[in-house]
Amino acid sequence: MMTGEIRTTEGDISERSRSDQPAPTDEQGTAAESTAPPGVIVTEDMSVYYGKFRAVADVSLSFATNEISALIGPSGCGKSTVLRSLNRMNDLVPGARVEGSVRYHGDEIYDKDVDPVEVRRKIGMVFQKPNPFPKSIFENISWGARINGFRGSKSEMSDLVQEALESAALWDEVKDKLQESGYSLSGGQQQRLCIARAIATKPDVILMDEPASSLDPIATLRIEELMLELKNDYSIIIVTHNMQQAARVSDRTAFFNVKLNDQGMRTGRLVEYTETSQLFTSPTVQETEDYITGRFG
Amino acid sequence: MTAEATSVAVGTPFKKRRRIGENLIRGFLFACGALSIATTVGIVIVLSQQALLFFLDDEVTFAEFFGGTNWQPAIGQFGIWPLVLATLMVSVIAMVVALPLGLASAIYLSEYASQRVRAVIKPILEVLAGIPTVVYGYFALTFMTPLLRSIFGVSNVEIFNQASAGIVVGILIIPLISSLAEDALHAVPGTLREAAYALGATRLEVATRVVLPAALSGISAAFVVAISRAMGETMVVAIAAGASPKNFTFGDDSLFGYVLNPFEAGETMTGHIVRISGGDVSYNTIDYNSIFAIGLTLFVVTLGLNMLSRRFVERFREKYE
Amino acid sequence: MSPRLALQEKDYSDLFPEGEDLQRQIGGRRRREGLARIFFMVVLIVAIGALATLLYTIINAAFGMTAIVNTVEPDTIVAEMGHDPEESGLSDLSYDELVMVLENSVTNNVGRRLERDQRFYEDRLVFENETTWAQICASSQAPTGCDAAPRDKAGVLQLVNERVVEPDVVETWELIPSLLEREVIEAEILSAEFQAAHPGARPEFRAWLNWQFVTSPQSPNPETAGVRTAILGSLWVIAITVIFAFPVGVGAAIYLEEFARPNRINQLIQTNINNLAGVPSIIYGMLGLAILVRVLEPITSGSFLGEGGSATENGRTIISAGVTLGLLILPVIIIASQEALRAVPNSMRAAGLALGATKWQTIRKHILPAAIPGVLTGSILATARALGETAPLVVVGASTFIITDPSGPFSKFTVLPIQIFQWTSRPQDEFRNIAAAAILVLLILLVVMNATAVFLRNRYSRSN
Repeated sequence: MMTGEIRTTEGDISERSRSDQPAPTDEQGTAAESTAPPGVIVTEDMSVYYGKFRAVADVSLSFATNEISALIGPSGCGKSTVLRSLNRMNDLVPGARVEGSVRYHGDEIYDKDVDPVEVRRKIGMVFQKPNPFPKSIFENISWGARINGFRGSKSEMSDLVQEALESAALWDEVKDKLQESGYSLSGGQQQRLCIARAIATKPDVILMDEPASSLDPIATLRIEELMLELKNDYSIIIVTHNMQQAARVSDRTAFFNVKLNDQGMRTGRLVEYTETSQLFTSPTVQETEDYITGRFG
Repeated sequence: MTAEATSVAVGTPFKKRRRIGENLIRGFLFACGALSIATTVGIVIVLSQQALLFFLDDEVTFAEFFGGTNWQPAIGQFGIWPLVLATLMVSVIAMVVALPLGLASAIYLSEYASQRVRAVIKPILEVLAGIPTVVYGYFALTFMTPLLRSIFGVSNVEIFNQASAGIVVGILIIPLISSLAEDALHAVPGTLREAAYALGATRLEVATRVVLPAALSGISAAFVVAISRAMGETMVVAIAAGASPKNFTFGDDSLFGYVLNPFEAGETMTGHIVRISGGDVSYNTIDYNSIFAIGLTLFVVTLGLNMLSRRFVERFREKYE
Repeated sequence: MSPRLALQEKDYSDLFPEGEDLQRQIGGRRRREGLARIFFMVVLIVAIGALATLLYTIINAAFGMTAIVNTVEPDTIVAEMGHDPEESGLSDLSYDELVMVLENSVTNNVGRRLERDQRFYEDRLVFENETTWAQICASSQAPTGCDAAPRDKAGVLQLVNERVVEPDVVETWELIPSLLEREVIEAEILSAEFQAAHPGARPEFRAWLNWQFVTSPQSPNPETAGVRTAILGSLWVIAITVIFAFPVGVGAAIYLEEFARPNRINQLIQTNINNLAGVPSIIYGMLGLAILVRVLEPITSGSFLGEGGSATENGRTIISAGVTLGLLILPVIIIASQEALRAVPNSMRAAGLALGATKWQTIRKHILPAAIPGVLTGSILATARALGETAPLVVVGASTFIITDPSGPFSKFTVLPIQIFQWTSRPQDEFRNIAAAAILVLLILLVVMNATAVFLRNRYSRSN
């Protein structure tokens, strides 16, 4: 029963058809084995190795467009590793290796010809602890755009910065102090600045690695509200250790767990991936139920 | 009652004795620390006192010392500029060599190199840093000068010249800049790098457009320390740069052909001090006092540079704490 | 959708490169990355190349072919003393035999002068007669030979070389050519025109760095000069430096880290130490000159102990040099020891005090032993630096020419780096060679010291 297969209901399929993804085979009624990639990012039998150590094994997931997908699980289950594999951030770790397939809009991102720089422009990331650059607020936002070849005029750049800050619900608070340092903001503001920074490169997926775990409850709430607004324009995948947060914001949730194999290695595996409401009220797998009811974790 | 009295009586002298020992030791240790103040006071007093005697001499005026361009004690001329100019010339050449190479080496070690490469390169830099300066002087005279002469022509490059000394001093300083700059780069938090990579930046862009600007004040401190070191360097210039002050007169001597020509010989402040004090010099002569005046100038300048670099380091620490 | 986000209508897609443009943009950035890597490689090559070239230059000069003209061949002397030249060399002769060679070869005047500089035997005179000797030693202008220890074999061997063999190196070749083109060079030396210019010249492969070089005293003659005087001088000076700077430095570090409260005076001390570490070394020399050599002359010349009496007694002695260098490396030792003490976890201090020990007891029994490896490493490295220092000692007044070994802290001195400096500053080629040989000796000493420091650091950090 512990498979990585995607479990769908009729309702989901119709939702999916609203997305702008092509459905080559038009086989809308079938389950996960359709050949058309149904989500903006699709992994298939993905495993991540750090040297000889297999951190995560055989993950097959499809992340839907304009939805918030949450990855939850106990610590060490590999959810952050999975997240970082989606924008090739794992490449920066010496000895890291990804097997299997990860497709973004149908294109394999781990292809030999694909430059990770390309991938990361389209799939942005926000980190656990806010990490703005020691530059001005304006420059924090414009930096990413300029690196990626922004060809607009100065006024067009200003517009881009304003729009990014508005999308991150930060514009009103900083519009008069764009030249001040990013460090002059509070923790919650800094995190929204980081979100604005990620948005400025015009991605269509935003990955968030425990984005609110270092923030106080009020700032957390604002970030969650922001996420719900952002999903209209972006696809968001978050990792969170806070189950309630996953229940609050996500449309779909994937539960990962650590398994001990016969060599004694701890490898993470996908246990269940389904609509959030279903996962938390009537999970299909016993492990999931044990985790969400607090029997371990 | 008696028992209490005895216990108190035994307790008190015991405690007192241990405290005296503690205090003695503490006093000794404090004296060790205070010796450093005595050293600085000593340096300041010694240099100032002899320099004062120098300036009080009839033959010398402040104006001449700080403004004159001829240093010829035999005929009573004590203008410091020939020595200062040579010092600056050697230091500038040294920095031109050491800054780019040292900074690039620091960036490479901090942002690019794997553990294995670091394990090879860092010891090499440490070895370069540990070679005594007199050996570098030998190298300047026996290798660098002939090299320059063969490249630029024997008639264009003198046997003793400032360029040769300057280049070798630069090589000498590379490990210093490299290690200080690397510390500054290393102190930049890794999360900043992560954020830059996540935005789609290449390693070069992360290194030069995020990490380097973030470490700027630390790197500036490194540069200033290096300049101070170059100015205070003695043996390389004593051996290879020249043994007599390059006196000049504005207007008479060609600016680029002679005065600012790095291929000419020129004695620096430090080289002059070493030459004079290594020869026969009796106390209380004007020659003896003159080297203290030069020494005082050098001390003030290097002290100023070192304090400036500390200001940079504080600004750097503030940013990340 | 909230009204704010309506701005999203604006399409930025034409402002970012896409497709081919994107590939080109990325390609440009990757190319720049490639260029940067090449630049880094160049930098590393320059750094490694500089080191390699430096060592190459030195080793090249310290060994090589020479064309040497001897007034009297050593083999002749050996044969005259009744030994077989095939089996023994000049250095195999006994002390007495060597003295006899001198007796036979030099004039009486020269011999007396040599004996007055330094005697040959403790119990008898070779050139002088007893009464004259007693007279001149009693006079106010007594020569050094009256007090100094008698010569040793290496010294007399050097004399025999200088006065009897009188080697004259007429030409030198560098090591690499000497190895690769040996026959060519030998032929050149034995050629008619070369012999015409330098009659009797023989080719000889010479290791300028050899045992004789290390054991012979200083000499104005480059062919026979040695570094013994300089090495002993260096060792004596460094010994004083360590005896002075190590306890004071560690003491100051303990004070600053363990006892000092953060008040103005202690901050001043700390800032002061950091400043002192950056003062050019020559300034320390001037401090040493003015205070130790001049003001404290009665102490540093040893005259307060009744030493000396010679007219040349002054404060330019080993103890002045040692204390000067000690002051120079003091800030370095303090800073390194502070770091070592800081690395000791606070839990150790708390534990010691909680058990009722006094502060000093805790330090002596627990903190200091834990910090000792770092302290030692830092001190050894600082001492190695002192070993290579030249400028401050020139200012303090190293002797430009001394041949007798230093006998105590109040002796005149020269040190190895100064010897190198002097030889490098001479124009003749042969001085280049012995300067290189002396540099090798200095480098070897430094390697040993640094290796010890690294070994200590590794050993103790492993056991920790």
